[in-house]
Amino acid sequence: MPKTDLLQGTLDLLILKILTLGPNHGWGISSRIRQISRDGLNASQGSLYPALHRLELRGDVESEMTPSENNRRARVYTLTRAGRRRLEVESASWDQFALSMKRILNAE
Amino acid sequence: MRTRLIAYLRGLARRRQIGADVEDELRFHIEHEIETNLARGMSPVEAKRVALRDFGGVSQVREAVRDVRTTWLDSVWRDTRYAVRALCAAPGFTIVALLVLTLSIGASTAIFSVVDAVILRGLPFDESDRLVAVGELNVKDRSKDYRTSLHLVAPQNFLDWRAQQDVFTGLAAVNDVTISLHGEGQGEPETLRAQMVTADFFPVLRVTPLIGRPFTSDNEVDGRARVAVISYGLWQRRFGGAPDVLSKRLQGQIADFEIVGVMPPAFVYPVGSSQPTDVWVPFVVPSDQRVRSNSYGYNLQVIARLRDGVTIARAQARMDQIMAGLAAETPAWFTDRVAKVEALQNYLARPVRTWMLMLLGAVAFVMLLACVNVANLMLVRASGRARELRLRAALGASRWDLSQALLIESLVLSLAGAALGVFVAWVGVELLRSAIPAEVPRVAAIVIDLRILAATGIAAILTGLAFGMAPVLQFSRPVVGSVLSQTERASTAGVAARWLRASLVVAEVALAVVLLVGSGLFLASFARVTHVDLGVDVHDVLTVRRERI
Repeated sequence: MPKTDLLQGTLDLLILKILTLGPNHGWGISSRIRQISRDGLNASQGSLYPALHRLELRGDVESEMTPSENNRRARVYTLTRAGRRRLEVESASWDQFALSMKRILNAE
Repeated sequence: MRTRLIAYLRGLARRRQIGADVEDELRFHIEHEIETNLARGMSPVEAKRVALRDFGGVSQVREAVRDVRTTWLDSVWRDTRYAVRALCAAPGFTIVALLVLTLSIGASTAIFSVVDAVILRGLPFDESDRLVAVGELNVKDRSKDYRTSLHLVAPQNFLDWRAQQDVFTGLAAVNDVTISLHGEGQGEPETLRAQMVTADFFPVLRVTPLIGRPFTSDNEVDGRARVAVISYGLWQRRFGGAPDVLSKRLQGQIADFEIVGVMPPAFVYPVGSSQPTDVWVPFVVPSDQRVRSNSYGYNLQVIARLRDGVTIARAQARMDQIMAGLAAETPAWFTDRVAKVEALQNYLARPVRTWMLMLLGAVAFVMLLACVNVANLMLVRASGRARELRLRAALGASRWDLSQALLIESLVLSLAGAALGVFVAWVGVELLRSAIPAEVPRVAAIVIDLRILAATGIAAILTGLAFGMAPVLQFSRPVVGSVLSQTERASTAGVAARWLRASLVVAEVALAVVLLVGSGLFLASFARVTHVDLGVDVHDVLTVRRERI
């Protein structure tokens, strides 16, 4: 399966959606993206982590360092209410976008 | 919107902590990946290799995160630290520039505090913008000064005005006199500055005595007028702050006065005078000054407080009406004379207003001169740093980055100069206060306070931006050319720089000449004024003034 590069805005959207399934850390989010898209999409760490921090600065997610198994610390991200709202809005416009693309590409 | 702001601020506050934790965050990811690889059956060595390969460059990711987290404030702080280091590394330049800035900002602040105290700051009374002075003008007077400034008022006019006006809450007359005190009992013989005032004086200014009560209009008759309200200073000085002062008397050479009140320490009238009034006594209009006869004497200052909702224009209109009515009865008294209502602050400051504004102008020139001077210094310095700036540009600094760095260096310089300048100003103010004649209003109120400091700060920032623009203009154009080239002197930027520096030198000389010529003219006129020929020989001649109390 070809791995597609993700644009920044779309990566934000994916992260927000993944976080609706529950708070998660960077590795977990990356793994989920791969898993749910059935390896169709892969987020590179060079984009994922900056995106996570940027989302936090915008207030769409909150984060905290928590000790996890083996006493290693991980930064766990949680969706905020603002983030949830943003997800809804941008999901809708993404659907619209995809639909329009499809129409044009399928036009005779 | 608000949540975003809160999140942003919280992000700023935790910045350092998060920065330190990024390392942990990334390492966690890698180790998790290693575990997954191990679970898939790779050997430990292979697991680690694959994990690191899949992760990409750790330091790249770390830098990327740091870029996201770095804010404009960070770059400002970094530039500031760098500017301080750079300035310390060039002591010759820094000391000279600081000297120029300190002296100019210091002198300017001192002068500005004088102007502020004398004409800009509001009077220290309740709703002082409602206070006005009412006087008379002679519209045909030959000198423009007399035509536009308020004259003292005749008692007859004052009485009629008081009776007929309805635009002021009160109209009070003030007459400057002196009272000489005896020496027995209470201390040395003293001559006190005093004012005869009508009882409305206290309500108009909205001041009440600290102890006792003010006198009332009942006291404005012969036989009941030997009462006095004294100042706090006099109470302390002559009566030692004794609590039974209200039972004491003020023993003057002409008459004794019963003390009925003591004013609070903050009350100084005229405002800020270094010879404040110590005694207020009721003003009784002598009977021959109650009717209009052939002799016309004017000696009263009249102050008033506007009623709510009344503007100065409306009060002026009403006074014009009243004057017209009075002129109809006694035309001889009112030829060419009209009444004028003026804000009290302007009235008190009028004699010195022009001088003060000229001082402000001189201050502006001095600051401009300093800016041009330091701008020139900065240009010389910047041309020595051209190589460094080109290097930064080649490494990716944008025009804004370079401009910001240069401007921050200028601001550091000017703010440091301002801080030192405040010390200079403080010394200057002490000197000025003792040197300025007492007739200048509010001399004693000249002080460096928060207003002045704020003005100084703003001036410093503007100055820093102004002379900081010089190197910015010269160097922030897109820089092309070999970073390592040693032949900058031959570049076209050199020609532009020379022009800029030359024009700055011209500007400096021009400003300095203007200031020199201006001060020369001042001194010349001053010398001429003090040597005006009065037509009489004034050596060893004393004047004597006789007042009736």
